[in-house]
Amino acid sequence: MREDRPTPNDDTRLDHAIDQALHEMVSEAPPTGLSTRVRWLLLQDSVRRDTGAVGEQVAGGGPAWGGHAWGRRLVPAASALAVLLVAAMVWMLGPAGPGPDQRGSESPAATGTSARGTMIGPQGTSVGAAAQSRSGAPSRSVPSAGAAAPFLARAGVADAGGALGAVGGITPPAAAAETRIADAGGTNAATVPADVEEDPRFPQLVVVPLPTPEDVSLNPVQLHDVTIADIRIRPLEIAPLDASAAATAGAATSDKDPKREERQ
Amino acid sequence: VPPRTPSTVCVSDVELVERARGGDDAAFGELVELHQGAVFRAAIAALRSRDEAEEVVQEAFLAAYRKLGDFRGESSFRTWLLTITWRKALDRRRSISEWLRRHVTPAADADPDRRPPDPPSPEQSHEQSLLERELRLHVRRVVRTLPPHFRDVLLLVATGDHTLDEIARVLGIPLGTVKWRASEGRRLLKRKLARLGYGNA
Repeated sequence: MREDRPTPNDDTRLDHAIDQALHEMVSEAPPTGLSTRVRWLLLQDSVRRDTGAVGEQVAGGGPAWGGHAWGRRLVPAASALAVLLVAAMVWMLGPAGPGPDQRGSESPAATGTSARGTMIGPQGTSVGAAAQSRSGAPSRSVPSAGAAAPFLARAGVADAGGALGAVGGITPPAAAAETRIADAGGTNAATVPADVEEDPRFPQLVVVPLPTPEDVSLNPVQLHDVTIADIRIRPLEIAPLDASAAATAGAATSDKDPKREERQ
Repeated sequence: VPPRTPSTVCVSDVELVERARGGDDAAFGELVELHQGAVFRAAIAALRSRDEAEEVVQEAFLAAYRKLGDFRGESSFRTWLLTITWRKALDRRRSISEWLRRHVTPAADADPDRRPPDPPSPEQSHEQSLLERELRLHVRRVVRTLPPHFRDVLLLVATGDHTLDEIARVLGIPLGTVKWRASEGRRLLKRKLARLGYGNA
């Protein structure tokens, strides 16, 4: 079978095989979700820079510090000391179970979502809380989610998985215009006011309500692979329900949220 | 009604870059979508590992986003982005840990030898298909033994994403050198294959 195997005279076939082999070595399609992860990194970077600017102003620019080098060194040292103190206190008090008021305490930044991570905004509210607390304002309130909206809106995600709802995420009009996804998977998704849903300013408002208040768990609800470009939302993964948590969550939502009941 | 985010469909790189500089992150997102394939393949050419390449791509886009203000438009955005990617990939390749990792445990994820065999084309006999596969396998192995400056050029050309001129800019070498490396690398490759019984020396 001479013609089957490349022979010393079969340079054309050899050239073809070389081209093909070289091409095979590099003809890899980029991994699925790569662009989403890049966008998420950009968002984190954006938040870091915006909040970092506040820190720099306090540390080096203000008259109290006079821009001295020792001042700039002192502030990080004091911050590190404060972190150590808090860690020591937490250690002394021991681990506490999550309570209703702790919902939203995890943010993508706080949970250290890795570059490879596909989880976006497990508790969107806390994205607001984290961003806001860095700038010194109170966290875990509706305004805090609203304050984070500009950062989130830049990435096309507002309050993904948030417990506080789209209202907080899209309230600031400037951010709302850019918002593409609001309160995906949010606990209070059903509380989006009708006037917001019908508002032409929010053409791409996507609401993924959880099935029932009883499904609301205090564990993070993970929203996988939110693809900004085409607004695709994949199924929610809901953590196992804790009975007492459900009762608390159910009571909380039923008190505050008659509209949710109506819709269901 | 407040202005909506402008559409990024059918917009040139130049316009997207301008928008991104103006704070439109969606525009930069569009640039990511547009160029992620070419950037990823360039990183693969340098690193031959999907995981490593993915890390480098993420770092490169992040760096490009931060340095967008430095982009002066002397080359296309894509070339500029590829240059950043290439530098980051080379940094990673040069790192000691990477060297150790490669020499202690060869990267399995990028090993094309582990790929399932291609289905034979209708015109090929099974035996012919196996022989060609074996040849390609040898080519890949020999490519890995080439000096990096030859191998890089050969692989970048093989992506089909770049012109020789673009490769020259990305690598920071004259166009003539790229051409020489491409032809010399191929000659060297053929010579090594000849020792294995394929083709003429």
